[in-house]
Amino acid sequence: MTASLTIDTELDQPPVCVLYLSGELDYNTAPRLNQAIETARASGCRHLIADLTDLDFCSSSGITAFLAARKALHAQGGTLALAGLNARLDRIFRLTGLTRAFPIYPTAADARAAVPTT
Amino acid sequence: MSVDVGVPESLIPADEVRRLAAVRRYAVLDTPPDGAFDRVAALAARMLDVPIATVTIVDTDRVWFKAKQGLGEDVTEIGRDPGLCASAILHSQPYLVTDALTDPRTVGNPLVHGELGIRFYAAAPITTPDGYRLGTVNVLDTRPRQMDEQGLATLADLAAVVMDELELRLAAMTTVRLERESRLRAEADQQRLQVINATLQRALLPPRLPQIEGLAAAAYYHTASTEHVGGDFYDLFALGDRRWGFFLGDVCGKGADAAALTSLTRYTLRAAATYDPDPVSVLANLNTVLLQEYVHDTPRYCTTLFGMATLTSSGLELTLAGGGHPPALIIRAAGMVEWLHPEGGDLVGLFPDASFAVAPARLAPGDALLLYTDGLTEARVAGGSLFGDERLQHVAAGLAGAPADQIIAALQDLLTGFGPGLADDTALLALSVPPSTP
Repeated sequence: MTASLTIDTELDQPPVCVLYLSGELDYNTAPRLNQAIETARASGCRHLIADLTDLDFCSSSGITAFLAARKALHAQGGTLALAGLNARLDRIFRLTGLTRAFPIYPTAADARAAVPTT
Repeated sequence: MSVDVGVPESLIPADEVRRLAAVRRYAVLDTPPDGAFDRVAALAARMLDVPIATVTIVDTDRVWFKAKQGLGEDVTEIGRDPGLCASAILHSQPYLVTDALTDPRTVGNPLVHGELGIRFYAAAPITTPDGYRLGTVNVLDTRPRQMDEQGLATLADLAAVVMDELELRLAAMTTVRLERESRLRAEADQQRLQVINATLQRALLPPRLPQIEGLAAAAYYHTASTEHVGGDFYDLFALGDRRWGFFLGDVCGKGADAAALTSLTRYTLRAAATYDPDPVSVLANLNTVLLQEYVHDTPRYCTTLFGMATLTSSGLELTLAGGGHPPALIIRAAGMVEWLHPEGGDLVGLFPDASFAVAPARLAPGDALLLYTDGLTEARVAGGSLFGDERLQHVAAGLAGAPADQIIAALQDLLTGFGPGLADDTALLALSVPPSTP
């Protein structure tokens, strides 16, 4: 079974950008998320929003990728917000205390509205 | 290092040892005739209007013809005699002998004074990018003649063409060799890795669970991939005085990093448990240790359930602490299945102020406790959906009253049945209290 992950990057409003993830985020596909985040950061993105509405599956490797990105963005005064978590992912995030690590919003638009403007 | 092969001292360049090494490097000596070099010789003869042209490589004691035009088939090499090629490679510039019979440099050269009767010789050295002259592109005639700057420049160009060709071949040979070596190395690495992984896995897992009077225990570890050591772990160990410690968990990532982290986690939990009777303190201790490892961007964390249990006359009293791990299952002898969930425990190793939850439980005779990693619940069943909690609960209900080893055997069958749907490593640990004998 080959897991697939699609990432669409919306970079039009730097320093805010949105990554739309769909499919499965696991050990095999997590490097692509790392890469997409690196690319976004290289393009001037400081406040990254990951829209997970269409993400069916997120393994611990996916969580690790988000945590690593969070740390790198924080070091530059940036933020990483997650939006659109499905019920299962929401449960995992609550189960593991990750809701403390990431601001979580119902939608990417909500997350965008909450980005610090300074 | 000296080179003594009967070649006059005056013909040996100062850098001869390294020059010969360069000759060897291009691996051209004694190779079969070759269109590219033959064309250079033919081109030299035609462009410079001479009957004989050759491409030579100067070896230790011989001048070997890589290509020749106007010389018999049987002439493949000549001695490294003074006056012609052997002398030409001593110079970085083209070398010219307009009349060999009168030129002092060619006195005694067999090509001049022998059957061939060479009178004219012009050569340009084939020079490597690092400055070693391997041989020459040269033209010869049996009558004396002149050659202007343009002619010599043509020879130099042709020598450069030969050098380019040799470089290309060397690059191709090197690529092929490296590719072959890297393939062999990759195969060897692969084998070595599998051995290391298997060894690591054996080292990381307890070889067998202790035999405990009044408590049955069984465990299973499913490795999803021989290439990537997973990071699941479990253990069951004595704390003395009929007290037992046990844990099961999953570190983030796969491979060697995960294996090292697994090892660190296991030893930390075991060590902390021996001097701290509080499961939450044990997890807090692990949290501190893992945070120290989180120095770079990549976090080092794990999810775990850690329990301490005391055997009593009526069963097993236990306290289970959790850090970000899926709940455990209690399978009651009577058929009920309960989730034992220390709710609200953080992942271990992420937050300096992490909090860990705790849940107490009591196993009566015939009851069992099952700890598992999410490889089990996140396995794909037919149709593509996740196995999930509900199906697990259903399967567990069917195992009511079974001892630990039977529970593990049944789940092992279940895991095997997932086939490729089971993508992740999975660890299982079951404890059961034997039914009371009437």
